[in-house]
Amino acid sequence: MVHVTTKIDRADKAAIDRLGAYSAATIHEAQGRKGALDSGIKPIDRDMSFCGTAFTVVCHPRDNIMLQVAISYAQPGDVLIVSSGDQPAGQFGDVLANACVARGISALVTDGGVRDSREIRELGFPVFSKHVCIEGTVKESLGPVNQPLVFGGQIIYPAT
Amino acid sequence: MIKGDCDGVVVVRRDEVQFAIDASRERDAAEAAYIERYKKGETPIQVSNLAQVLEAKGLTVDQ
Repeated sequence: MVHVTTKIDRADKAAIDRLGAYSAATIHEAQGRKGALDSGIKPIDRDMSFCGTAFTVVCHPRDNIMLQVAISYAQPGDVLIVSSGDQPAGQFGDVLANACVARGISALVTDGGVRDSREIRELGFPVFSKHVCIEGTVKESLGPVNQPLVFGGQIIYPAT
Repeated sequence: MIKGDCDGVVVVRRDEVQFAIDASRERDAAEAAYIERYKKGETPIQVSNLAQVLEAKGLTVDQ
């Protein structure tokens, strides 16, 4: 079994820019009131926004080893979709946020938790999370990168 | 494709991106037109064309 699929069909920049010009609410309504993720997944700063190609990863709850793998293989412009069982834990903080910025990643969206939110806000890296949590994580369990998954109540295909 | 902002996050299927773009443009234009009508003094009942449906539901008003 291959855990990490790196070759995904990314959307072209022009299409991303054209869609990204509209608000999430407008897009949701315009495409027939579908595609809305769990409304509990919110930006850690209301001025944060993003639009891009989904790069998916499944982390075991309270474990971030696959998130570190995903950041290592993601390409500039990718949006990391981190499925982690809707469990609060500090899986992502300012150090990994800096790694994302350095690698040109567009944003991170997770149903798990993040911490160092003040530092991430100051850094300006868009982070959307279900939880903010100070508790640390382990690095134990492998999981799939860029396989279809259910996240926030929606099916997300890699490169969606 | 995934879009997120202060209100939330929405996923758009790749083969529906162009439709979503076009429909979003139309929706924003329609909303801008509604706002202009409000600025000119029209009410939500007028702008949203609610008179008939409210009448059918039996809405009563003391005027």
